[in-house]
Amino acid sequence: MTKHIRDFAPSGIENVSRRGVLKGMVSTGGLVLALTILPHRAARADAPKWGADGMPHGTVNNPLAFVSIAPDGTVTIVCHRSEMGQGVRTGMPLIVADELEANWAKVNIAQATGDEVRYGNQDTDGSRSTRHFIMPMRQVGAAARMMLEEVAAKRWGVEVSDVEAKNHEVVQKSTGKTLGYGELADDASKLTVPATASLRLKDPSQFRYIGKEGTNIVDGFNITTGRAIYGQDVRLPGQKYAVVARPPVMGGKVASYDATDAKKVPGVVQILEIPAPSYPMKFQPSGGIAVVADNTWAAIQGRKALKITWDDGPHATYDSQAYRAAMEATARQPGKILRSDGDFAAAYASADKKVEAEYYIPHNAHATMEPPAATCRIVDGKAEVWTSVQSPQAAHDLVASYLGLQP
Amino acid sequence: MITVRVNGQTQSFDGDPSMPVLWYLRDVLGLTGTKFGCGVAACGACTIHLDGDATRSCVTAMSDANGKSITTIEGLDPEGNHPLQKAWRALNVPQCGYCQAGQIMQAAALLKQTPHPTDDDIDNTMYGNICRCGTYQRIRAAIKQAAGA
Repeated sequence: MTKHIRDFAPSGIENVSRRGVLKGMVSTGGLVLALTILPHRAARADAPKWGADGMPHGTVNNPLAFVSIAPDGTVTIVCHRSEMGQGVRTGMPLIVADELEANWAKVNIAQATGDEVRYGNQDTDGSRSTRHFIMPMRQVGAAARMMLEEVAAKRWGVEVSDVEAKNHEVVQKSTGKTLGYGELADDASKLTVPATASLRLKDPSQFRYIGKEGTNIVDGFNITTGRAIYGQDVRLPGQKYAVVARPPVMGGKVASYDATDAKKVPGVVQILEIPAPSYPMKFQPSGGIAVVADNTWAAIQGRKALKITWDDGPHATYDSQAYRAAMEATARQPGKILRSDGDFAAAYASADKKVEAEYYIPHNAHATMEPPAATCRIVDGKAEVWTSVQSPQAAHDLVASYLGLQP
Repeated sequence: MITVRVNGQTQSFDGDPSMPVLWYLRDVLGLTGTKFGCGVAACGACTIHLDGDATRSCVTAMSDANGKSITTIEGLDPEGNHPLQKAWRALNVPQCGYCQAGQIMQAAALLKQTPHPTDDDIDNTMYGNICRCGTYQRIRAAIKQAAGA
């Protein structure tokens, strides 16, 4: 684990507020920080790539996290990972807040858009978020804390060693004078971000929130009052609703269809064929017939009225029993040995008790409660998409390629 | 013309009378707190109160709601401070949260009829509300906390 953490150093933190990267997000001014982990893999080509390091778009070398502090002291922390009930919208910002010595009651959470150049890897899978981002998040919080301390020391004309950030304010140790984070933020945003090597991270015994009980999930109020916005909940003026008749067999496509009756359903406005993806389809949409209507119910009724003949494609004759047999036969072939400790064969042969079992699990759907959905608005050649995905950057790129837009 | 009261406000609807209340709430009124999970009354995510009774809005046609009073999660308490909502937050019940509006509406109907439910009462009433995150233990604890048990 130590090695793992060390793999992320050295990283660089840069102050992006002067570049205006976050214009629009931070309307009240104040401190804006971004952290970049610099590419350092090239020098270590033999280093093993674990988890996010081995993701399709390359190693994790640009995770960014953002902190902003408004003049009233409100701290806004961006969560760049996707919430699926694992609590990441609480957990990631909490790490930043801890190192920042922020009062959690004065912290707001903002969700990142899909933008891995700005925020770092966002593909939220593999239980990676905390493992991979605890150290970058701690560095963001520590850097912000030290910048606030530096401003306070300058304002009081004392050494930085005489000041200490504590619970949303900086205290002068010798006099007990205090300055709130909101009073310091604007000046702090003009400072050079301290070098990573100079960051003073907390000793774990000083943690306020990390590893402690008592922090409620940040979305508790919105979830219990129906205000939390999920993928299906975006409502734009005059929006239309679509449902898709998808191939009953994975990899299949539409052979022909008749939309005469579907078009007669009141509220249905358009019927469109979505082309079948190239095979293997991987994460591409499966294609089919989309029914666009004034509301979801009309779209569903329109879909029911479609007459579709399907070409079931390469899996038309798929046989789950034959597939299982092939899988079991494959599993009995000698495997590729990645690691061999001790002498298993000898130990097993001489064991007093031997347990053998075989397990087989059929294809399973994730069966999420929330049916995936997306809302898209295209204005002046720019597309904006709201959706429930684990990898917003991948969705961004896919939508751009479908629409022929520059990513 | 269909007339319903939604969270205390009278609304009239002249669309397809077979439209489920769920889609009327979400797409016509923009009340998206009521969730679409399965569409066949198998999961409970769309639970509302129809004249006070817990009802699956995804299979309840607007014609069946005519003249009735609908309460959604948005209207359960004006400040979001129904005892169940407070208990839900205090015990960190939700994970992804998608089912929780339905869970709370189902539980609210239970507490109205049975202010101090036993474990059996809870299980027998809540069994139709599925939580994919598996928060059932905390749901039960929160219902009891809200009931002052």
